[in-house]
Amino acid sequence: MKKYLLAAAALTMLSGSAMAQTVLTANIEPATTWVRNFNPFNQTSSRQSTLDFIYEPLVIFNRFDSNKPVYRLAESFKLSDDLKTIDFKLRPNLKWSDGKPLTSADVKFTYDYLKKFPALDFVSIWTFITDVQAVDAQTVRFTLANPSSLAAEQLSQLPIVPEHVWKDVADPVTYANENPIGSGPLTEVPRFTGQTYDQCRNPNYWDAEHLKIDCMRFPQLADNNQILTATADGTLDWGVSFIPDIDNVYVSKDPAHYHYWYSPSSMVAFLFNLETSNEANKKAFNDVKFRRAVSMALDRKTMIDVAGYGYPTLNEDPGLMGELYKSWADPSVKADFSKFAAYDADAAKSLLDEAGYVDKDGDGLRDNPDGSKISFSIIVPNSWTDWIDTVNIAIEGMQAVGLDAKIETPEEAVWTSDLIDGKFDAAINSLPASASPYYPYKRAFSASDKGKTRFTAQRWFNPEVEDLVTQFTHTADLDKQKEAMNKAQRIVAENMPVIPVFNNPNWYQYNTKRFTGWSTKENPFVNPSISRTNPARLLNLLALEPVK
Amino acid sequence: MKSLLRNRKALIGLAIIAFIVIVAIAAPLLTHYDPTARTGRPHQPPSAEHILGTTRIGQDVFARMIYGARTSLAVGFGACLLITAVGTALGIISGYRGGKTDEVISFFTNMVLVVPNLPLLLVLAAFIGQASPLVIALILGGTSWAWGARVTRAETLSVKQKDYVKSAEMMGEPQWRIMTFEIFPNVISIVGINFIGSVIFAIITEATLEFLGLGDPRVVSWGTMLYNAQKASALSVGAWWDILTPCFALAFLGIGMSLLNFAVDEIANPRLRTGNHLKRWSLLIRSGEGRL
Amino acid sequence: MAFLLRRLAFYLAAFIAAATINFFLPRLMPGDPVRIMFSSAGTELPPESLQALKLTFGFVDGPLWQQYLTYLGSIFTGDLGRSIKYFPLPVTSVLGHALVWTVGLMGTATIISFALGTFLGIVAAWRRGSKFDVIVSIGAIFATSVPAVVTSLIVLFFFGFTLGWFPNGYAADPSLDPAFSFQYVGSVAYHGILPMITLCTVLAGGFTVTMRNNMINLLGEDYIVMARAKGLSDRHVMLWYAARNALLPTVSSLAIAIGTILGGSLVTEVVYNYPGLGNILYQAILARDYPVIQGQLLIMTATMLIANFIVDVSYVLLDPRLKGA
Repeated sequence: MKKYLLAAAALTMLSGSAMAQTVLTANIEPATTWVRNFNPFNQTSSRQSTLDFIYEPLVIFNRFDSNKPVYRLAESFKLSDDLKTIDFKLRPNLKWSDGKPLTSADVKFTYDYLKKFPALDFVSIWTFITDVQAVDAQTVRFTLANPSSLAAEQLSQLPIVPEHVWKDVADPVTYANENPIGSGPLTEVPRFTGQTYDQCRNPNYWDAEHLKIDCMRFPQLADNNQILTATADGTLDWGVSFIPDIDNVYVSKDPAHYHYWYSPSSMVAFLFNLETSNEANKKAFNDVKFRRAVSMALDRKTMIDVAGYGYPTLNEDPGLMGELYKSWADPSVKADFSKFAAYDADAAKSLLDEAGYVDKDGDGLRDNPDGSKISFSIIVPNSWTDWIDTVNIAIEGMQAVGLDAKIETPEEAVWTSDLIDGKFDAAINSLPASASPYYPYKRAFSASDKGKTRFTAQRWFNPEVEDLVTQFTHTADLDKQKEAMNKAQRIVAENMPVIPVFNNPNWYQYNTKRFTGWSTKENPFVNPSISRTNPARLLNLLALEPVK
Repeated sequence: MKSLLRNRKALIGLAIIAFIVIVAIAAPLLTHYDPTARTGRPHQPPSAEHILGTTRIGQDVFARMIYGARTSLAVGFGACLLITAVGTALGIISGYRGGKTDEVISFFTNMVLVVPNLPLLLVLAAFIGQASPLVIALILGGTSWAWGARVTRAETLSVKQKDYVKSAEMMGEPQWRIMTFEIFPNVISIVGINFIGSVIFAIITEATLEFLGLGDPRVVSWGTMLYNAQKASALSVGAWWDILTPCFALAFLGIGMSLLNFAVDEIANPRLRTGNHLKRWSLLIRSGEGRL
Repeated sequence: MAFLLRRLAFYLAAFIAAATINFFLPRLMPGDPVRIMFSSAGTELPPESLQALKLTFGFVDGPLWQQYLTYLGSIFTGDLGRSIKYFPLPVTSVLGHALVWTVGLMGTATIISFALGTFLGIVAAWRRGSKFDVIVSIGAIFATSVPAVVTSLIVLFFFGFTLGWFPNGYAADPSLDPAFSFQYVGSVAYHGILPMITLCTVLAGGFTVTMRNNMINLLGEDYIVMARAKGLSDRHVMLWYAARNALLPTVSSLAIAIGTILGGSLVTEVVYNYPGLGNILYQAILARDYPVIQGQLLIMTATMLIANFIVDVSYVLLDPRLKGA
């Protein structure tokens, strides 16, 4: 494929129509064909290069630097002392890509628009705020439903769209926004086919002096095999996918320029359905000693090395902090409970023996203390082979300590609904990575989310933890937040509602042949992933420059 | 039957099939590895320890191939038994009884014939989810009998007119007896051809469904071997043994069945024979001396 | 005439039945397309937004029978709705693009296989028993007995990966814009070679065997012997007497083959990442994209029915025995 690109590039130069443009080729999402949809509110079928690159956020919080705010469209924000209102002050003289001024009226318009069309509100921000006002041309004031120290983070998630374009859109849910007017670095789309599209420089970009890339190019790649080929032959500069045996298949092809760096990302854990309809299983699942024993039967290192090719990061933290949130970890919790999350088959067996889970009916498998049979299946989506391999290793471990564990591989859609509806016994699941442990705790342990999301699949709730989590948002004082998190951590670690095994890799491949300035392991100034879940990708882009 | 054994193609075909069946049955004797256990390091090339190397997660490829033969053969023969049984029964019934019965059955047969097969199977398999080999055999049986029914019906129509059938009718034999003992034995060559064709079809379709990920990934079969190898990007990482082993296994079995199919075709229709003992006869024809 | 009318009525009934199955089957599949779109993305919509989004996709409103009636009506107006995965592209647009590729690839492959297979079949039948016949027959057996998935993988492995002579996927070079330029068409052809080899291998064998068997059946007929007795050349008799009559059943199998074009190349398209109808259907099933699945099954069924009808018509025209029926 590289040959074709070079030939095509040569032809383009010969044709004389294009100036020497700096083009960075990247892959964000697999696709069978590109659909021209740049609607930033559409989470399912718009291009994943829309947020951040076309619609710049107000503020970006740098998770690799203690969540420090990096001001983008906003030059500052101020949270009131009672944590109930927050003001954002926009930079002066901001312009949209069509030259019209970007003011607080656009911000107010966007939020009111979301209220009018709830299907666009992909973070349900209107359960978080009650009002938005344009105080003056540059200042917007949000009134919160509940006091929250996390207001700025929450309000930075949504894109700001131009009022003069969107007020005339009849149905914003189906609107494809084919020629976007945006505020980010790359808003123009000079070329779009089913096989490739270019996103190019915003002529009125406020931070143009820091942008040294003229265009990003996105070739259509349908599956991992194709992405692998494009990565290995050097077509891609910036990638975000799973490459099997990466050192052999990719790095070895050009060790001077081909790199990757996998920092820890979302947490993968095993869990039991504490409200399963199987009564015998339910008894065992609800016993923390049983859960701890299962946790100690899991050979996490083998899961990482064999199932994950060595890419994931070990997580033996029963409080769920792990490497990702290590600045929030309470060392005393670790000292007291970490032994229950490390691989120790003998300790698992003794704990099970001691807790009364022995073989009562002579079939070689452990039973409940009251004699009822324990037998469960672990559900995992059938297309995620690395997870399937992980579960198989887990089952080996569980069977080795005498538990009757099996695997089931429903389709992804069914796995998700089973988790949400509670129609399963055991499962493997993940919690997305966030800025602080507040988010996973809120997602996994909020009783009101039971039956609505897959994060509460284990159905373990503790009013004290929920209270502490809310307290976290009621204070802007870091020490008080840490205090709340320490207490919550302890309860979680003690009860082990989910059994962590590892953190998924933050997929990131980069090619230094044409561009330098990347955020790397040696110089981790920002989260470099090009995934749309990482707004800091904008900062990585701005740090890049072509190789001279 | 004797003529079958004398036909060279049939012999080779039977030999291949017999070989595969024996290997499948004797699997535990041929390898001490458990096909689902991790017994080696991931993606090792063929070596003395692992004759055909290991898969992505470290399972022995050779063991998976010979145990997988069991599944593939079982589904192939199982599905085709179903297909042939249903098709033959419906074909004979509608061909012999004629009238309203014939119209109704023919209508359904034609309906099933016009629905595109593979897409329907895909949707069904996805609907069922995690389709185990048994389920795959069942849905294959349920959707693919139409061709056999049609062909059997045509043959029944011609056999129906024969003397021995007419005399049985005149003697007052009940219809079901006539169909079972007079008609069926005389359409058996068609049934035989149908049977073999269906086996090929069933094996190919099972492998295809599993390759597309609609089967049960826990099962050891040639189709799931293909699926796992493809998912592990075996071709791209250079683990050719992982993906070519099930490929050649399927090809080998397919060839064996097709040779047999071809031979049975020849037996049923003597004109198609090209065995060496007919060469003299063909030479005569060519020189214009006789007719076929 | 009456024969044709009866067939037409039958096809219409079959179409409605197929449309009904098409409607219910995807809806019975477990899983919900909106949830699927999120679970692998690693992001999750809050429950309220999810509900609002579902409403806009429009498949939660109205009782089932109402949706069914709307669906039936829409078939005849040609409005197959919007795809969920490629929202907001209409289904007809998604299928339309894919159709071009499938017809191009599969259509060309079918024509080439038909020509090749028929020709080989004729010659092999005429030279029955010779080395040529044996090679062709055995070759045809090999080609049809190996599953398409295996053939595509082996071809891809040897020519694409090992030898590197051909590209490993796509319909054309992604950096080129679709146009009727020499460059683009050339790229399309280049990328199409491997899938074409695969498909021809799979299809040609069938035509060869059919033609050969038909020819052999005919060679004993009186009129053939008569023609040879008259002193006509071998070639003349082979082509103008035998082949012409053997062609009729072969034509009917060709028509059926055309009807199955749309589904027949599915595995090949998936292996080569060719953006044809087969690949689209496969992806749609994985994504539970109901409108696309329904639309596609419908079109495939309709095509099969039309192909069958054309065969019926051609039989009536070609075989006088049927005209009186």
